[in-house]
Amino acid sequence: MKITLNGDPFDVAGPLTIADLLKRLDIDARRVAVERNLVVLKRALFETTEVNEGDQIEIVNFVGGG
Amino acid sequence: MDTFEIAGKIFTSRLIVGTGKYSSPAVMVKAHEASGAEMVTVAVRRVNISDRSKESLLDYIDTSKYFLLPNTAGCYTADDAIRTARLGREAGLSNWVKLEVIGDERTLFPDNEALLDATRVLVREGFVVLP
Repeated sequence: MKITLNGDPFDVAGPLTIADLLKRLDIDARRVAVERNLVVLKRALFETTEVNEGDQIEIVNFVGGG
Repeated sequence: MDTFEIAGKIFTSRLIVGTGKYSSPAVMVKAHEASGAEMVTVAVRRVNISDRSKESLLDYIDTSKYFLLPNTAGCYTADDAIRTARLGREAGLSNWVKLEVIGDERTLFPDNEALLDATRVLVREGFVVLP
């Protein structure tokens, strides 16, 4: 299915949850925050939230800055 | 001893130090130690999906020693800053945020009206908002 991931088009085989997506991207779920369709997703919901066709997903973490 | 209190949290150093533009993480760690600061700012940024290093900034910051202050660097609208603040809270389990909304791309002068708009929303959501 086609989604938008961090601003870019992204193809992913579904069905999958947000937790699945992070695992597939090799991203540690404890280190990031995820926004789905402009709504911040609580970490506790990663395992149960499905990724749908057309979703806009943003995955952020902390980087150096100030 | 001179202490510095914000939102009920007491610091013994008034210095807030950033985490960007160091030549290496090791240098950053040494700089933080030398400064005596207890609060360090971090930026909330998209993870680079295609070229990810396994190392994370948080690998180098001892969060039992340093209090993390996420900032909304790179945001040009109140909405962007609000969403970034919420993401920062979710990523870092802290409801503090240093708010930045850029008004001028060249000078990085802030958009003060947007700062106020974002502050009102975030304070209502329980954030501790710093300028």
